[in-house]
Amino acid sequence: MSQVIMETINLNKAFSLGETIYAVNNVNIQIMAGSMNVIVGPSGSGKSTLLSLLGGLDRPMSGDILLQGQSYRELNEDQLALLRRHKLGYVFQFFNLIPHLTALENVMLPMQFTNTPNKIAKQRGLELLERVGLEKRSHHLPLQLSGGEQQRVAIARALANRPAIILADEPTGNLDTKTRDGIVALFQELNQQEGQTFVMVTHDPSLSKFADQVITMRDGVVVYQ
Amino acid sequence: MFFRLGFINITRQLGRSSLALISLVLAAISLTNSLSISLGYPAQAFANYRDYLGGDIIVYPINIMGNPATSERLELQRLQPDPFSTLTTLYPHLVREGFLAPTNSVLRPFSNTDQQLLLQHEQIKKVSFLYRMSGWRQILGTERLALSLRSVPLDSGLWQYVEEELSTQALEDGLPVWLNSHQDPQRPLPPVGSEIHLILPRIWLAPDGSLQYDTGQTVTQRAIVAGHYALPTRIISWPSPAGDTFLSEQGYFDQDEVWLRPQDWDYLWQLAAPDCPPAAGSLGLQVQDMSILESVVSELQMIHPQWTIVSVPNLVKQIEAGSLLDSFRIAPAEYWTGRQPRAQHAFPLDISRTLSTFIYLIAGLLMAARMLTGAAARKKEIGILKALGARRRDILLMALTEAVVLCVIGSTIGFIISYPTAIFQQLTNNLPWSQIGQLMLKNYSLILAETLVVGVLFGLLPAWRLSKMTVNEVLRA
Ligand SMILES: Nc1ncnc2c1ncn2[C@@H]1O[C@H](COP(=O)(O)OP(=O)(O)OP(=O)(O)O)[C@@H](O)[C@H]1O
Ligand SMILES: [Mg+2]
Repeated sequence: MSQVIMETINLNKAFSLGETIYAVNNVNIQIMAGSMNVIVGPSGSGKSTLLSLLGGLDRPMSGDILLQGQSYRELNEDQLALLRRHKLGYVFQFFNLIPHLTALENVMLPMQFTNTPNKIAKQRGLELLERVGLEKRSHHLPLQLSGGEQQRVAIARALANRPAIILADEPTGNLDTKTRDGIVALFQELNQQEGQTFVMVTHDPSLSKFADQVITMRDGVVVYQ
Repeated sequence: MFFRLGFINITRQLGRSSLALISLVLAAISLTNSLSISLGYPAQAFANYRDYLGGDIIVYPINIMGNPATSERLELQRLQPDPFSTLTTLYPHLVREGFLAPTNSVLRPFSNTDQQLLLQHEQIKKVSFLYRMSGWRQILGTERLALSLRSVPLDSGLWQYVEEELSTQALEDGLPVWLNSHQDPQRPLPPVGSEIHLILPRIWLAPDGSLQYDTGQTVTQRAIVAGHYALPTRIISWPSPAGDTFLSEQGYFDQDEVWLRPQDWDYLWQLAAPDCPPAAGSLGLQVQDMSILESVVSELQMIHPQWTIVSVPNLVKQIEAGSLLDSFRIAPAEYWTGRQPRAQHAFPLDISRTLSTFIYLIAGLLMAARMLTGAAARKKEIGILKALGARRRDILLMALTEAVVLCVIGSTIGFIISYPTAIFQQLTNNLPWSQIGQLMLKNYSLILAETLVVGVLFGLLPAWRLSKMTVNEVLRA
């Protein structure tokens, strides 16, 4: 657990809407393999921006990110997409499931991207749904599932390709307290039993409680690590 | 994978696709119709043409250069709803594609009575018969092309328009024919010296005086292409805007026509119509003064109240009024004051093509709209796929699949709905099944291709745009 799996080097991202806002300002963080990392901070402090940079969903203005030694800067758009496909799992606040695909199909999607044989993908998809406690819902469409169930499907989907890191942006932000506890427990389990690395943005103190690292941001700057 | 995803997107979201699909079907129907109706219904085509010309008989001056007042020859041509009439000039593809493959048709030739009646007019000095016969020419046993065979008097001066000619010795071993050297790259003319076959329908005289053409029975005659000609014809003249001179426009005949020497024509007529005297398809009139053209026309109209007779200068006005074009008439821009000059070769206005183009445009927009219906949902979907690692080409492949599947389904349904009428038409014209099949394949590919071009273009456009954005931009937008 002492190995650095991901790190940022002088990461910057600014938006200019009239005046320039430094959403991520010279950020240098390190993520250890198998650790649970939580990014906290007031609204507008740049948490989501940082996470989407880590996820390769956006490009930094300057600086770089290394994932298992691979520099994002050296990758073109297609290579970055392949990196997302193979190495990263992303969990959104609003679940972001494909509405006309069933729970199982949503989970199988990333595996199909990597050309996993259908049989194996299906088997693993069912296992993952079972893992998140939804084995009975595999043929339901997202709209037929509750928010907490949808988020479990999204987590199962993020796990599909055995990513190096799961990035989650307020995964419990849109759920009620009871459901939230279930999801938090699931994260904890995945982290502690299976050594899954997590980086998540959250306002939820119950998630920060068992974090190995809490990254606090203010105005785009990491103020405490 | 993304191929499959595109497929699922359609089958699971038929509602979203239905509007685009319906419009694609409509577009394919309208294109099928424009292909087969405008080309496919001789009666309709004839009606259009008759309306367009405004009469049963057209009277036009021939061999005039410049001032029509100095000309003294007129030609009367009767329009007929038979496949060998002027229709074939107007719609040559009709003939080629079997929509106009004639069965029995009736030709009412001009008769001696017509000649006598016309000679009563004091301005008409001479009325001569112009002999025409309809048939096909065939090359290498494959292509059949309907054409008009025409007896050309040896002293008629028309022979000066022969451009390319075979030496006389070579002519001795076959019946010599001269072909009109129209410029159609689709149908290159057989070269001078080559052998062709003339196929003639059996002709007989019915008790009512009409000629019956039975294209079910034919005779074939070997012939040698003795030469090519380019015949300047249909000179249209009109007073200049200043009124001090005459302006004119020279057109070239592009009808599929074969010239024969009178003796050869007689021989062929004997072959095709052993039991009836030669019949004239049109009349040549010699008049004193062309300036009385309109009065000749009105007197002719009195002699023949059963026909509508129009003159060509009149026709030009009508064409102008109806914005219709003709393949052999075009006037310089000055004449069409305040209007655009016209293209030299065009067919009478056929709105079905325009209509189908229009429907295609709508279908295309609906395809684009389909990509965007629930624009937010669509964007989100693409954003999610990108976040999960879909590359740009993957997204495009997915959108392409969707567009292609919709286009194939749409054009196929449209084709199935609308093409049977064309098949029916072809069957009644005795077209063999093998050819019907070929035409069907050709028309289907054409419709599919046009639908695909439109559908794919408009269907891919929004996906193209979205695929270029970063995931964040897509998901946030
Ligand atoms: N696409 C964008 N265009 C312009 N400004 C942006 C964009 N994305 C983020 N910002 C700005 O960057 C700053 C950081 O935004 P970010 O979403 O990262 O904050 P956050 O810490 O996740 O906040 P919250 O807790 O409310 O989700 C904000 O001031 C925001 O307005
Ligand atoms: Mg945020």
